[in-house]
Amino acid sequence: MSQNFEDTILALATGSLHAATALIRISGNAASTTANILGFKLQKQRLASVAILKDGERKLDEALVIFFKGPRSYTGEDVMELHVHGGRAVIEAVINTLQKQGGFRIAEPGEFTKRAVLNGKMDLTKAEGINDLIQAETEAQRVQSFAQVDGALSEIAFGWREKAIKIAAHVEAYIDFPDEEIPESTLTSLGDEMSVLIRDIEKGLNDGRRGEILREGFRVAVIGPPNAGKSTLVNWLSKRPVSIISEQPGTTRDVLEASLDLGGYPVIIADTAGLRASTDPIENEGIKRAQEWAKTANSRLILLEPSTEAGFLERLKPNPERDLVVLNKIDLLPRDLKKEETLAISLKDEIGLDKLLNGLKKIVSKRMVGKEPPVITRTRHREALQSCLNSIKSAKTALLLGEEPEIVAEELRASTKSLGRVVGAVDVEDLLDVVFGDFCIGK
Amino acid sequence: MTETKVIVIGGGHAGAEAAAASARLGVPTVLITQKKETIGEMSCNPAIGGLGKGHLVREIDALDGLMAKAADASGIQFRVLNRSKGPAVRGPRIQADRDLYKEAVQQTLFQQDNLSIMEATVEDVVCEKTGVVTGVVLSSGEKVACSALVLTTGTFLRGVIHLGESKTPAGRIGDEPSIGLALTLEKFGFALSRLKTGTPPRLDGKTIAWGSLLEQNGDCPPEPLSYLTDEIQNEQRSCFITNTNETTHAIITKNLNKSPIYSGQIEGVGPRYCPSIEDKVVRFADKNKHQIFLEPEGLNTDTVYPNGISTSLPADVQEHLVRSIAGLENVRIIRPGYAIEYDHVDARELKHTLETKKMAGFFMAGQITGTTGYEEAAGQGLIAGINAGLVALAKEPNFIIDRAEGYLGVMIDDLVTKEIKEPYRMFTSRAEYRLQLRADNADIRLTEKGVRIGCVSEYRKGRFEKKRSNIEKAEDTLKMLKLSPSALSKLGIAVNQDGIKRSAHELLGHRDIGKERLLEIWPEVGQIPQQYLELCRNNSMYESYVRRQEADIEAYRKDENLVFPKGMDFCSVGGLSNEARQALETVKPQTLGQAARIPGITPAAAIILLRHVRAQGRRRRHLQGSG
Ligand SMILES: Nc1nc2c(ncn2[C@@H]2O[C@H](COP(=O)(O)OP(=O)(O)OP(=O)(O)O)[C@@H](O)[C@H]2O)c(=O)[nH]1
Ligand SMILES: [Mg+2]
Repeated sequence: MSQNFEDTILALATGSLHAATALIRISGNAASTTANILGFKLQKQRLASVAILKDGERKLDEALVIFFKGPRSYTGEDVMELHVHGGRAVIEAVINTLQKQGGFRIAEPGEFTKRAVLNGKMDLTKAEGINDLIQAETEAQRVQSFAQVDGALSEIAFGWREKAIKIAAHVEAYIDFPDEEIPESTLTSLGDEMSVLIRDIEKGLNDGRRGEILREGFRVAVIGPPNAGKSTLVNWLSKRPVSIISEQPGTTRDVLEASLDLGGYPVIIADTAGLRASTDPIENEGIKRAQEWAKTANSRLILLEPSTEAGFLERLKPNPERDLVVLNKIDLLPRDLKKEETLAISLKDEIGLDKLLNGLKKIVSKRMVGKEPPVITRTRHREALQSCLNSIKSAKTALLLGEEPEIVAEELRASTKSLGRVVGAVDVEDLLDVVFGDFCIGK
Repeated sequence: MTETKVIVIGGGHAGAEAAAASARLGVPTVLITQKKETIGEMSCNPAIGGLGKGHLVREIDALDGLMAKAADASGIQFRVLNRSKGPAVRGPRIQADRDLYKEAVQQTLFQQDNLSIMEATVEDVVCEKTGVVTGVVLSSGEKVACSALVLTTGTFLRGVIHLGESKTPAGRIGDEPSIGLALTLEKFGFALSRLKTGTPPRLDGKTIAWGSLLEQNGDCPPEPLSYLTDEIQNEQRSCFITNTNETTHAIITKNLNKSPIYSGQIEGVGPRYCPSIEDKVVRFADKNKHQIFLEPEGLNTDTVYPNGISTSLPADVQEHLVRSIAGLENVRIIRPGYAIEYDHVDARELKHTLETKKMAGFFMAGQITGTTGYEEAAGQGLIAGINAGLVALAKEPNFIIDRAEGYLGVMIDDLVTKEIKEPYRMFTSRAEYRLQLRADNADIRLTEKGVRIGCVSEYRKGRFEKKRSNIEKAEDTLKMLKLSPSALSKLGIAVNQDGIKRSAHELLGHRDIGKERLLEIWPEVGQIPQQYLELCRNNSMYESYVRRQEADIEAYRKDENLVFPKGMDFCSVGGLSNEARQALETVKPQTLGQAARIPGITPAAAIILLRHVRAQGRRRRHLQGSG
C-alpha cells in the first residue's frame, strides 16, 4: 500500500449512515482551504462554529465546523472537522465537492493515526492501542486497549529503559574514565541491578500471553467423536448457524470459527471434524486440521456422547486446568446413569447448558485473570522485549565471568537497541547524561 | 614562489595537520599565523592521547599526520590507559615536554615540501558571488589568492577570559583576538553558539613537597604513539597524585559568589566531563576529596600542571585553596587558572569533508567547530587539509571516514549532524562499532585509504605493507592449525563437544587460553613475532561480536549511500513534524543515514524521507525517459 504524505486526506470518521450527524475529517496541508472550497469563512482555530457548506452556489448542508491548526491536532497536521447531517447524499456531496478540487483523497484505513505517529503526536504503542480501541468488541478488550492508549506499556517499558540506560551508563563510565576514581565495585554492584531488571522484564513477559489472547481472542477447539453434537453446540453458543448439523457422522470437515463474548472476554470457538479412523481422504484431511487447530488452542472442549467408547477420552489426555470434558445427549440416558464428574448436557432438551457456560467461563478466566494486568498485547512487543531480555542475560553472564567491560557494554547496547523498538531509540547522549550525573568525572 | 593553492589560517594543532596534509598531497600550501614561534604550542595540559583520544592520534598517524610522531619525540611519560580492560578500549597517552613538542611540530612543518609559513593577520576572506572562496586579505591590505581555505583559529571568536570578577577580551592569555575574521564569519551568516572552558593554575614545582605524594610511573618500556616509532629516546618522568580535602572544599564554598560561573557572569556552557573544581564541589557535595594529577610540563621547566582543579576563582582565593592541599602547602602559583568563554561555529554548517555548506572551498577545523582537545582538533585539521588539497587539485573533495572505519568518522559525523551543548570531546562510548575500532589497528583500517588519496609517504606505505603481510601470514598460520574438541579436551582445554574443529586462531582469543598454552600444543606458534601474535589475539577475541555487527554496518552504509538530491528542500516533504523539518533544515543532511542520526528524526520520519527520495528518483527517471 503506497501512501503519499503530501496529499490531504479526508474520510468519514463516524460509523453508520442515516445517523443524526456524521463527522468528515480532513487532514493535511490543504485542510484549511476546505473553507474556501465549501464557501464558508474560517473561524478562529479550535472554535466550533456553524457554517453553510456550498458547492459554488449550490447549498449542501448546514454544518458545525472546527479547525485545528497543526501541530496542535490529532494528526499533527492542519485538521478540519465538518460535522454534517448524517445522510448518505449529504456526505457524498461534501466529499465529492472537495475531491473535485484535486489534492484531496480518501484516507486509507488507519491513515489518520499513522500520520499522528509519523508526526510524533503519539508513540507506536499508543497508536496500536488506539487501533485496538477502535476494534474492541468486549469490555475486557476495551479496558486493555484504553490502558495502552493511556500509556500502560510505554510507562512500564520506559521504566525498564531507564534502568537499562543506567546500567549501560555505569559500564561506559567505568570504561571511559579510568583515572577518575571509578572503582571496579561499580561493576560488581551492576550484577544485582541487572538481576532486578531481568526479573522485571521476565515478569512482564510471563503474563501467560494474556494481552495477546485478549486482543486476538481466547481460542477454544470443540473436538470429539463424529455425531457428538459439536456443530449443534457451536451453533448454540454463537447463536447462529455456523455449521451444518446432520445425523450423518462425518458431516463437518473444515474448521469453522465463530466468535463470542464470554463474560467480557473475546472467545473464538472452532467447530471441527469428528475424530475417527476413516478411509476418506477428505475426512482425514479435516481430522488433521482439527488436530492442528486444537494443538494451538488455549483450551479444548471435548464433547462426548453416551455411545462414545471408553478409550476415546483417554487418548486425548485431557488437562483439567485448561480442557473441558462434556457429555452430550443425556436425554438418551436413563436418569440414574448420569456420571457426576463430567459435565452432562443435552443440547436437544437444553439441560445443563448454564453449567456448561459457567465451566467455559471458568476455564477462560483461569487463564485471563492475573494478579497484574497484562501490558504486552502484541507479538512485536514480545519479540523485542524477549531479545532485550536475552541481551541483558548475556551481559550479566559476561559480567559474572569477569569478561572485559567492553563486551558487557556491547551486550547492553544490544539490549537497549531492542528496547528501543518498543519505546524509542537510546542515544549516546542518554548514557552520557547518566554518566555525568552519577559520577564526578573529569579534570 | 608558485601560485598558492591552499591557505591554512592558524598554527595550532588543527592548522598544523591541515597544512601538512594538503602539502603532502603535493598542493602548494601556505600556513598563515600571527606568530610563527607559537606553531604547535600546547596551550592547555601537556598531555596527548587517552581513551578515545589515543585512538584518534593513532588514526591521524595512520594517515601520516604529525601528532603521534611529535608526541613520541617529546614524550616524557608514556602510559596505556585501561590496560586491565580489553584491547578495544585501551588508549595510549603521553605527558609531553611542551618545548620538545612544539619543536617537533615546527621542524616537520618547516621541512615539509610544498609548504610555506607566513606571519600575518588575516582580516577578511574573499569570495565570489557564486559562493566560492578565492583568497584572503591580510591586515597589510595585501591579497593572497587560493583555491581552498582552512580556518583553524580556535577560540578567538568573541573570546572573554574570566578570572574572578575581572573580564578580559582575548584569544588565549597573551594572544590578540582577531576582530576582522569574526566580522567575516558574521558577514557570511554562519550560525554561532557560545561555550566555555577552563584551565587550572600553573604551579612552581620547586615549591611542591614531592616526597609526601603518591608517585605514578609511566609504562616500562614505553609504547610509542606512532606506528613508525621503534623506540622512545627521551628521559622519562613521573606524575604525582594528591587530593583536595574538606578544607579545600570549605574555601571554595565560602568564595563561590566570587566565581564567575556561579555569579552568573558566564553565560557559555561548560563541559560536563571537565568541570571546574567549583562545579565538582557543588554538584558532588557528598565527596570529601577529588583527585589531582600533578603533571610535569617538561624536562627543563619547573612548571607543573595540576590536572583536576580548573578554576576561575580570583587569584588570591586560588592561592588559598591550592595551599590547603597535601604537598602544596607552600606552593607558588606561576599563573592563575581562568575560564574562557568563546563563540564557535555551529558544525552543522559543515559537510563531512569539513567544507562549509555555504561557501565552496571554505573549510573549518579545530576548536572553532565546538570541539575541545588537541587530538580532536588535529583529526579535523587532517581531514579538512586533505579535502582542501583535493579541491585545489580540482578533484572531488570526498575524503570521508565513516563511523565504521574510525573515531575520526564518528567525531565528524557527530559534529555535523548533532547540536553541540558542550565542547565536544571523544569518548569510546560514542563509537557504536567500538570493538573493531582499536588503537592497535588504526593503520590496518586507514593507511591504505590514505595511500589511495595520496597523503601517505612512500616510507610509511612500505612499512605498512610489510606489517600487513606479516599479520596476514601469522593469521594464515594460526588458522591452519586445528584440533577437534575431543583432542582438545584430552589436552585439558574444554570446548563444546560439537565435533567442530577449533583453530589456533580461535583459541588464541579465548580468555582462559594463554599464548603459553597454545605454544605447548603447537610449537610453531612460537615462530610468530610477539607483536603480530598480540594483534591476532585481539582480532580473534572480538571476532564473534564483529561478525554480529556486520549486518548493522551494512545497513548503516546502505543508508549512507542514499544521497538526497542537491539542495533538497526538506520543508516540501509532506508528513514530517515541524520539529523534524526544522532539524533537517538546520543540518541539511546529505544522505538518508545522516538524516536518521539527527536527534528528533524518528524512524518513522526517516521512512518518509526514504519514500521521498525513492519517489523523486522515479520521477526523474520518468522525466528523462519521456524527455
Ligand atoms: N438426542 C440428542 N441429539 C442431539 C443432541 N445434540 C445434537 N443432537 C443430534 O445429533 C446429530 C449430530 O449432531 P451434529 O451437531 O451434526 O454432530 P457433530 O458432532 O457436529 O458431528 P460431525 O460433524 O459429523 O462430527 C444431529 O442430528 C443432532 O440433531 C442432544 O443433546 N440430544
Ligand atoms: Mg459437525
